[in-house]
Amino acid sequence: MTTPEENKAIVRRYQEAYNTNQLDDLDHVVAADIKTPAMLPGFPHGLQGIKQLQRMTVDAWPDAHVTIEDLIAEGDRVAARITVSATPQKEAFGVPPTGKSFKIGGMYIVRIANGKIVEHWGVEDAIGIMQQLGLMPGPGAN
Amino acid sequence: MSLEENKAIVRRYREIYNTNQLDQLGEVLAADFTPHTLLPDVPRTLAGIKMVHQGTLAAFPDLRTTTEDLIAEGDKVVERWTQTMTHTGIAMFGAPAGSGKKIKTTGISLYRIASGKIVEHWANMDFVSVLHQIGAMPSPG
Repeated sequence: MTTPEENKAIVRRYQEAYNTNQLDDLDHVVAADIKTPAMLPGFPHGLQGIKQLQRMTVDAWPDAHVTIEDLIAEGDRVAARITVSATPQKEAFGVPPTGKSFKIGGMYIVRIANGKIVEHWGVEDAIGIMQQLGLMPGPGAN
Repeated sequence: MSLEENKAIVRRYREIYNTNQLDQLGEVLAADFTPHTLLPDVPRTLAGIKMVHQGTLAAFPDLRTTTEDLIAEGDKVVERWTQTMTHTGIAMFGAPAGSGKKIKTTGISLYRIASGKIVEHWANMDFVSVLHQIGAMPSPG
């Protein structure tokens, strides 16, 4: 079994693969049959679905970047607090391009077995995206 | 504080919410805690978070949060949770009062603990799914 520090390194590599859009690198750190309870509907299960989602994201949000703000690891799980930023250039996920950028917070938890991520739960401030792009009233706007 | 003691503080925090005894939050929440993800208009005080919770309960009186997992390292605890609620109360998110809509959502909270109390708090939840289930936003697909 990998140690919590080794598991954090796997999560850093996972995030780096996304940020550099090196999807082949995901094969080294993500199990092919990864379970993703928070996956958007309409995508295939497993790593294949993750890659498809990432291709769609990069196509619509070419400058998408995830910064790991904190990692908390215990046993076979790692939790990440993240910041996600992007400037939508094409309609995707119900978000049209407005010329504006967004920066939102999120968190995810992964479970690791045999050196690979086998389960992923994630939540992010999706409403914050709509508010920052001016598509929804902000909490203070009346 | 051990990791297990820190987890016990988060369990107590959750129990205080689930039993709506927010007057007891002072047991586990530092007076000068920093809530990083509280709505911008809400005062960053115990009174502020009580106001948010009473507002939520007014719409969803049976709100219940279940801790699904706790992950602790150093002075931090991460909680993965699920939440169930029925919209039997006041109008909310465009749905008329007492719509009866049943809602299930998920979230993750991060707590930093110092001297036996929560001093920092971050949380994210799948709020879009709440809006879908109550009918305020079209569902995907």
